[in-house]
Amino acid sequence: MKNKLGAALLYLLVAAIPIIFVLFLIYWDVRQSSIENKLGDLVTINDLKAQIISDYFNSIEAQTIAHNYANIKIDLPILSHYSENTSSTEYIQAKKTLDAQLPTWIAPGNGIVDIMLVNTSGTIVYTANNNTQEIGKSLPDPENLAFSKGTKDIYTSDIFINKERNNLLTFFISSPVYDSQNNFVGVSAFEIDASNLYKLIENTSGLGKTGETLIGEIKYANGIPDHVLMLNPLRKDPGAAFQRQIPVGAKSAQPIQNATLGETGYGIVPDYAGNEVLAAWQYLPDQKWGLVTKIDLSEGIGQVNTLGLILIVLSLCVAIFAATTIFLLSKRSYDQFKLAVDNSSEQTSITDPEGKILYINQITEKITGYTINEIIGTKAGKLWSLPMPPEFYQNLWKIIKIDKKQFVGEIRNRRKNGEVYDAELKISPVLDKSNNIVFFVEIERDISLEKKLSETKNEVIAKDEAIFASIGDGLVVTDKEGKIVLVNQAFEQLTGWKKDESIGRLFADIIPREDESGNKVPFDERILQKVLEGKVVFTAATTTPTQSAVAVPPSYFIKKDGTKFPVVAIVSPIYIDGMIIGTVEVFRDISKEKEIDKIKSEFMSLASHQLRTPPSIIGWYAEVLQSGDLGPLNEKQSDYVKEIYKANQRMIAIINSLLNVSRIEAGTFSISPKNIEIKEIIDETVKELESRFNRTTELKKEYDPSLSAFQADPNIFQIIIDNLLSNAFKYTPPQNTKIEVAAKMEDDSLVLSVKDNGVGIPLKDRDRVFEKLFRADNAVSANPDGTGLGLYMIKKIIVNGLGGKIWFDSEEGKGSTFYVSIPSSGMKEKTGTTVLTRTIVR
Amino acid sequence: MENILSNKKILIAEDEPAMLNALADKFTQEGCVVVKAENGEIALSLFAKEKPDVILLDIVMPKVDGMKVLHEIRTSSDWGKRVPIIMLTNLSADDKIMTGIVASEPSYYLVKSDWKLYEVVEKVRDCFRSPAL
Repeated sequence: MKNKLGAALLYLLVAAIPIIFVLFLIYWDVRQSSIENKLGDLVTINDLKAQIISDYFNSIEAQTIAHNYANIKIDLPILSHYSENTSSTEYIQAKKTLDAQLPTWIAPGNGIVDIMLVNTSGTIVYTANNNTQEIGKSLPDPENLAFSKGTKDIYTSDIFINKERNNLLTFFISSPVYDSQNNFVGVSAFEIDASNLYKLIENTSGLGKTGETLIGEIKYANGIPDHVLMLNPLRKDPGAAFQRQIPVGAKSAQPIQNATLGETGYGIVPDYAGNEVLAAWQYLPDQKWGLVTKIDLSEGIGQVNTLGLILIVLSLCVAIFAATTIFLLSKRSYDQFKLAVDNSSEQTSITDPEGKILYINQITEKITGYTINEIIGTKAGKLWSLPMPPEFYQNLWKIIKIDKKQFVGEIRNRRKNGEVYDAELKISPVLDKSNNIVFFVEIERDISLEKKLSETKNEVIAKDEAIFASIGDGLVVTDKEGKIVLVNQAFEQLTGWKKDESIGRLFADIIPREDESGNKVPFDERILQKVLEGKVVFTAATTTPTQSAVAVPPSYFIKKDGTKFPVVAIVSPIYIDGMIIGTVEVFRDISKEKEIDKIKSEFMSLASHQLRTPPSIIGWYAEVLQSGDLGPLNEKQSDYVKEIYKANQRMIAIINSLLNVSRIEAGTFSISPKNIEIKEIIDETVKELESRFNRTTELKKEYDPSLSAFQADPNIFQIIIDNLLSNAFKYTPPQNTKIEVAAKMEDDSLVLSVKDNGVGIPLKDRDRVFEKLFRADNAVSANPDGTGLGLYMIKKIIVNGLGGKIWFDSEEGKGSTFYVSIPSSGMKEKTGTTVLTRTIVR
Repeated sequence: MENILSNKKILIAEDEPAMLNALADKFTQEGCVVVKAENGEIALSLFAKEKPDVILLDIVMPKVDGMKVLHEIRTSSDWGKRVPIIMLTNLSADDKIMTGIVASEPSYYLVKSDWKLYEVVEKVRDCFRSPAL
């Protein structure tokens, strides 16, 4: 509630400022014009007073001059003449005449208190009041100018306090008196009661409670203006007349100073009492007086001040109204927050600026286990937050209260049931228009599951990284432009390029590739590029990422230092939603394999050379013996030599087969397809075999009419045909040999079949006939010369090398039919380090 | 039938004595003048001295191997360029050493274990037959 009040006051202030400002302007304007008006009034009054004073003196002077005519002209010289002899008839007569007239002029109405007649030497010779004490003396004006000035012209003396007349304020108007011959005979001096003048001056009608008119005159000291003497009683200082002096240059009583110094004007100035007054002033040259009419500023603008008060009250009313409205409006926006809080899917609360929960949504009950009733009014988080280090809270309050920014942090909470969980805490201050915190919106989110997931994810990532690092083969991942995005440690070691140097660069740029002949592999020819450009076309069956990997032909990578090493590599496109987004290339330094291969092939060539030399010698010697060149052999001897020769030929065949097998197994044999005539090769082979087995066979050949030139490596094709046909010969009884050979185009394949009427394959051995070195029992007995390598070898060639198939039908004792299918597209060119040799010995 | 091999001087370079003897006996019997060389070095000096009509040249031999001998002979003299040379070996066709032979003189390459003696004689005889025949 305290807070609400504070807010309301704040709104009040905010609303009041502009209103007060506007009202102040109005007030000020009115005040100024009011002052102007009042000053105008004062000037008018002042002028009026000046006029009154002028009129007053004029009228008085007119009376006194008029009075000079009459008996004074006649009688003054007489009185002057007989002044030493007052009992003379002339004197008495003259005095009588004057007494009959002059005292009648003394009347309160015209202000004349006395009329004195002065002889030419300045001595009073007559007073209308019959005041004998005055006779013989000079005129009593303090300045003693009434006589001397009065001898020449009409003169008005300064007002003075006449002690003789009970401190009456009087002044003299003196004027020269001339006789009928116009001779100067003396001075008439009328003493005038100044009360009437003062009454006129002091009339404060139209000047309210503080207004007045005052007069003063300058007094000199050593010829320079020294002070202003106030000439009339003042409202605030009744004893001021002839008493109060204002030093020239004083800060107070400026208008009278201005006026007495001859200036006419008006304005707001300090008066003799030091108050701010509205004043008009002017100089009265006739009297040498300064005349000031003034009124206190406070009274002069009194009505304006009333207006000001009204305006202040009015503005307060408006401000209070505005504040109330804004406050009510702000209360409404708080309600809108409530709706948002209710609808929030996270635990959300509104707290006051001190963190006390004012409002919280329903979901909180589910999360914390506390009921809303338990929560409302508590400090946020008090019920469920576990203590955090003090710095945490310092930082939190700094952010939300001082910086007035959103705070985001992680805390640990405990549900009512004791379960501890991690939560993300967000606190946002809600500010009013003047940037004051009205309340906080606090959102807490249970992130324990996320954390667990992220930990798992990090573990997975770490695992992935560890796996990448542990891969001994170089691994490089590129984006779809061929730029490196990831490499592993083996990559760094093998190529000499550091991870940081290579990422973001084209793989082809940093690692040039050479083929086996040392020629640079052009950019476009690189498999990686082909894979990216979609130039490597995958068949429908191989569109899955793992199957679409392409083996890169053996080549060399140029390392950073310019040296090279042989590699085998596999490039796989990386697919996302069927789009290639990059590649993974795994490559292996095969220097060692190459070395081993070299050693192996050297061994092979040595072995083949060494192993074949002895049987070659045996063969030739047996041949010479057999030929009878060294003398005739008996039948037995001839048979023995023949056996030696046969066994020797078998040995050579086995050696050749073994060599072929090792080449086939190594996959190093090359395939060089040419256009071959299938018929011719088969015919030639049959002919050769007939002569070798020294038997005539009933041979049936069936060639598909559509059969024409076929793309095949003649050597390999012959090895296949050799094996199939020689098996047919070997395992068929010498008499009544029936062999059927067929070559047909079926669908996408060339199918060769060789059918014999031989021993057949026993049921139990059918699964094993393609095994290395396996020989069926009946085969061994039918032909002990077999090696057990023929079918194994051709199956390897056909299936692994040519992508074909081999199968058979057989019935023990009746014969077998072997089928071979080779894709009709023929054999595919394959470069290799070895060639297969025919095993059949001539 | 006229024996075109008679009095033909044949240089046989072969480090294996049994083979050398067998071949020497066979060609002597065929009427040839046989010059025997037990290694490549002897073969080269005998070639220069004897100017044989035909050469049987083993490949794997000590000191100077058959390939080198072949090269020397073929680049030594006019006779060396023309003389028929039949390479004999027990190396396989895919042996590295063989690739040169197969490429340059394919018709003069025989694998000993695959060929009977009389076939070798026939091969040599072929060298003296007129292509027209």
